[in-house]
This record gives sequence, C-alpha cells and structure tokens, in this order.
Amino acid sequence: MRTKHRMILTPLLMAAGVANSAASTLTHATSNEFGGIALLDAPSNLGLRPPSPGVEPGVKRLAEAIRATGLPKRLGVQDMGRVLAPPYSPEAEPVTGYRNGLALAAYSRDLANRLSPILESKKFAIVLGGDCSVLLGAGLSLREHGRYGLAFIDGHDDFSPPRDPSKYEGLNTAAGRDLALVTGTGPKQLIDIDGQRPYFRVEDVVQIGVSRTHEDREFFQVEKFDQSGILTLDIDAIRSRGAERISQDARRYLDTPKTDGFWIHLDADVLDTSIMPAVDSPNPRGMSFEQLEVVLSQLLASPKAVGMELTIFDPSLDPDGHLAKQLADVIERAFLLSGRIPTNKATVENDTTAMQDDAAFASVLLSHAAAPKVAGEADIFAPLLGRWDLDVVFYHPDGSIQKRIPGEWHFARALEGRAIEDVWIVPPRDKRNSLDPAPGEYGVTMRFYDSRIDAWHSVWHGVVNGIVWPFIGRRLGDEIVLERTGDDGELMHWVFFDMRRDSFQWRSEVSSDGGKKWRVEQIMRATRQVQEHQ
Amino acid sequence: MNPNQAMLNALDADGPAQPYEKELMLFGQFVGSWSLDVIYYNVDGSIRWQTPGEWHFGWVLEGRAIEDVWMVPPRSQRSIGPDPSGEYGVTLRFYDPKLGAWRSTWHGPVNGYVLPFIAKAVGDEIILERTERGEITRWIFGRVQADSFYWRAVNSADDGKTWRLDQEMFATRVLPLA
Repeated sequence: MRTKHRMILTPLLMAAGVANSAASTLTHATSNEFGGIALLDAPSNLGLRPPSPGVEPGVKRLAEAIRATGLPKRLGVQDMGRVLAPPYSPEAEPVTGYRNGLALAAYSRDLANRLSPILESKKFAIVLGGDCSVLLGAGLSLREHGRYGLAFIDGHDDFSPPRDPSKYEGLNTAAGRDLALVTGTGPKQLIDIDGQRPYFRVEDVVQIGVSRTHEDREFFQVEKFDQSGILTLDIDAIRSRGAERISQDARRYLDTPKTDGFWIHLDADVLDTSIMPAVDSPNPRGMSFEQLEVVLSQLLASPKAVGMELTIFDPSLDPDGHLAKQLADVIERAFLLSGRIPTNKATVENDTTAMQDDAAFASVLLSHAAAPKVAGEADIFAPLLGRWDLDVVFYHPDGSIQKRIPGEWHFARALEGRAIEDVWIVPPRDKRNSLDPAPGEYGVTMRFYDSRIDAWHSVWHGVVNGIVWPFIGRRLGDEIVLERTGDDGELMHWVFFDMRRDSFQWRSEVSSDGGKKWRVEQIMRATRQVQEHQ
Repeated sequence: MNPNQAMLNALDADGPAQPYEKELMLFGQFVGSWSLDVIYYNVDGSIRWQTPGEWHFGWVLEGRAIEDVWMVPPRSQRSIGPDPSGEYGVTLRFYDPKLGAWRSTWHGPVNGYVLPFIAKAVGDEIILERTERGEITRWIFGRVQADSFYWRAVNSADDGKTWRLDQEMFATRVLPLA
C-alpha cells in the first residue's frame, strides 16, 4: 500500500535485515535496461519414472497449465513456441543406462538449437519444462555461448548416484541426476553432446534449497554431492539465516566476472509439500512461497541472469488449477520485484516504484495459499476468494424492501495463509463520489481459523458506521453461519448460502427470542466478476 | 490481473481521509515499516522470550483506517509447517468521530486472539485500552519520535491501582532505500 513513495519497498527486502542492521541491497537495472523476455515450452517427461504402471508422467503438461494462468501475458513475453519431445517409453535403455536416454540426448540437441537464438538476442529466456532433464538442453546451449553459472533451486541434489546401481540398470532417471550430468558425470551420450562437457562447471554452481530425508541418505551416495565442490545453501540454511541473506550469498557468488552470466533452474519441489504437493517427489521440508519469491527476485534482479527453467510441477495433481496459479503468481511477483518487468505500459519511475511498493506490501499482508492447519475441510471460505459484484437489499421489519444498492466484495488470503481478508464496498467504487461524505459503507472483514474451537473468527469492521463486530463462523450443511450476540442479547446470524462456483447469496437475520424466530434484515446476491483473459 | 492485486486495489489508500485528517494522523504517523525488538515477560518479571520482529503500517479503506501487519519473528526467520512460530497478525484501526476515539482491533491468528480496544491520545502517549473479566489491559505507544517509539503492554487486576508489565517493544523505523 502506498505510504511515502519508496518506503514500502523496504519491507520485503529488509525482512532479514530487520533483526540486524545490515541493509539489504537489491541492486538492479531498471526494467528499461533489461531486453525483454522470451518463452519456450519444453514439454518433456523423458527424465522421469512412470508414476504408476502404464501411466506417463503428467509433467508434460506443465507448460500448458502455466500458460493457462495468463502468466505469459502478464510478463509480456515473446512466444517462441514449443520444442516437442519424442514419445515417452518406460522401458530400460541399455546404451546410456538411462530410461529414454538416447531420446533425451537427441531432445537436448533440439532444445539447445531452439534456445540459441533467444540467448543471442539477449532476451531473458523462460523455459517451461518438462522435468529436470531439460537442464541438459539449456546447459548445452549455454556452453556453446560461453561459460555460464547455475542457480540450482531444487529440493533434491539431482546428483548423488544410488548406493545399489544394479537396481537401476537401464532405468536411471535423468531427472534425478541432471545436475551430475550437466557437470560431466554420466554416459557420454548425455554429458558430452557435441564435445561440450561439462555444460556447467561445479565451481560455477550454487544449489539452493536441498532437503535431505533418511531415504536419500540410505539409498543414495549423498557424500558424492557433499564433496563435489558445489556451493550449497540448503533448506536449513534458509530457515536459520533467512531467505534474504541466503539469496544475497547466492547472488554474490553468481555475479562473478569469471562467467558470462548464469542460468536459473527452478524445480517446483523446492517448495514444501504442504503448499506444493503436485510434484513427483514431494518435499517434507521445503521452502515457502514467500521464501521462494525472495530468492527468485534477488537472482532475477541480476543483469547476469540470462534465463530460467521451471520444472517438475505436475498439473495432473492439480485438478482445479489453483496450484498452477499460485506458482505463476510467485513467478510474476518475483519478476516485478526484480525490476525485470515494467509495471504498466506507460512506465514512469514513480509508477514503477508505487507498484513495487504495492507488490512488496501485498507480499507482507496477502498470501497465495492456505496455511497447513487451514487447508482442507477447515478452509470453508475458499470458494469466496476472488471478486464479486453485489446486489444488496435491506428489509423493513415488516419484510418490505427498504432499499436496494449495488456493491462489490473482494476476498484474498492473508497472513501466511492463516487468514482471509475481504473488502466490502457499497455502493461500489465506480459509483462513489469522493467529494461527498461517503454513503453506505467501505469496510473490511478479517477472518481466521482457530483450531482450538474448530471454527473461524470473523470480525467485521464497518469504518463508516463505527462498527466492530466479532463473529464465530462454522459450516452448517451447505451454509456458512456466522454468529454473534449483541449487547442487547439479540442473536445475529450472517449466513452464506446457495454457494456456487460463480455466485452465492448472503443473508443477515436476527432473533430476539433466543433463536426461535428469525427476521431477515438484509440479503445480498453475489456474482463473480469476469476475470481478465490472457 | 493477479487476484490478490484486485483485492489490494480495493483495500489500499493513499493517505488520510477528509475531514478528519488531523485525528487520523494519530496513528497515521506510524505509516511505514518498523524493525522491532520484542520482549515478553513472565508474571514474576523475568524475561520469557526476546525476539526481533517487523511492523508495517499503511492507509486503507479510502483513508479512514490504518491496517498494520505485525510479526515475530521476522519473515526471514519464520519456518513453515504445522507449528508456526510466534505470531503473524494484523490490527485494523479507525477513527470513530461519534466516539471521539479510535477503534483498534488486534487479530492474532496463530494464538487465536481477537482483541478490540478503544484508543486515544493521553498526553504524549497513545493508550489502547480494553477490559475483560475485570482485568484492564493497556497497550501504550510512548516516546514517539519520527524514527522510533517504545511500546508496552500492561495489565491491572485491581482497577488500575497497580500495573504488571507484560511486554515491551523497541521500534526503529526502516528507512527507504536510496
């Protein structure tokens, strides 16, 4: 929200600096100095095992799902199309020892060929994977253009070989070894395409976010990664030192003059399974969306970042598309905060800053996903998230209509996903005259789930009329009923009912006899506002 | 448009609303961001927990209200998962001309608190007060300067004769980047 000009830019960036006096610096060129963004789909699942017999990994549809969120338009990308992959086979492939190994070698060459013109044009490349093996194609292209570093943001090291290789003969998964492959360990067909090994040098790589489980240590030679010389900023480091400080460390390391730039590899499974379950190997100790936003925006802010790939998110595990939207939102925000995209077409330095202020404050207040205790059955207000047009009717005690006014209602998640905040504006903004004392109301409700009572606190603040009313809300059948008792002993219910995907109704009713008889005071009919399309 | 952005556009305001601009600046003076040193006390006066924190104030609702997000520990030190740390809550404050005072309500979702206060200036300080079950709680902003303030929470079970110090905060304004 707009305070003074730039002040709000600091919260997100100063987050880690708050506890110490070191000011953080997100130094970057303005968006005018960055050369534009190009988008390339690499829908390859060649690097993964089948999720179950006879089923192809769904990560092939990641690009489609991310595009459907409208992200490309919001980032203002140039669309460079799609690099189709050869058909997936679950069979063992003995030549490389990797499932689909030879197909992957050919695909990597194709992908590199399609990435080359983008790198040469100095546009920032976004590659929508696919699984992590798309890194081979990206790495090959980069190596052919110089020496590039790598920010490897991933919940796994994608490096350590199995302790018992005999179990994996012909069936090694490239998506589980891509970091080893691109740094020169593995079959020649994959690590040395056109003699370019290694695509990345180990000393030019930073691993961010690795999270080890018992199984990892038991079944994989993790010591090989630990001794590889790759700088590692694991999940424990992020949690103890903070995403801000970690991202600065990574940025300083990657901004070295020894390289011509660096690539960003982002595997969705760096995120915690509680917020990102739609991945092949869910991460029980992963990053939060907010931490990822901090890391990604810091890296994107460097003029040396030349591109990124997004991998592993599996839309088949996200049937209603909300995880795709959350992922897209984090990426969009990171681009905004980094200064890589202008915040509106008529860019003026002031506007850019104000939008970044809003983006930064939005980041403190608002959230993308429900907190763990709120998710699932407890998340009763989730269907209301979004924007609504209202038709509001107030009734006389005799049941006749007192007045009828339009309105608007906007719901969003807040406070690390533990709360929902909604702004209720009657009449709506486009019908308000700011010179008159405002009629109606322009208020806000704060709602949060309390597991101690298995119910929601829901506090209405009617700032025009001087009202603060705390309610307790629960789902009852198909309705959500909020209840309070007035000072005069009168029972009040605010009820959400007839809840559908694009509409709902709401009523306010009171009872003076302990709940035997109810009188309806107000009814609202809400219809969902049309979303802007990509 | 990012759905959260639409909500923020509806919520957001540029500054205080007329005609109560002067009254609104009582809390309006805090708009911006603060870094905190927070100390919680046990009833015997020993320190229970000392932690850094963050506090961000902004204008909302056509400038009639201030919303502020408060958290301990700061974001960079927060873990995620089923057992969150500290608190990450919000206060909604607005000036009520009929009351001649502010209604200021703290919402703490981690610890399950909804605490409505009435707040007004008292001398150099701003005192938020509420009474529940015979106990008076006051949250007090004091030593307010442009770039710092001192906040304390005190509690009285004997109608204000004696007060127990429950919590302190030392706040420093976070300056904008150059």
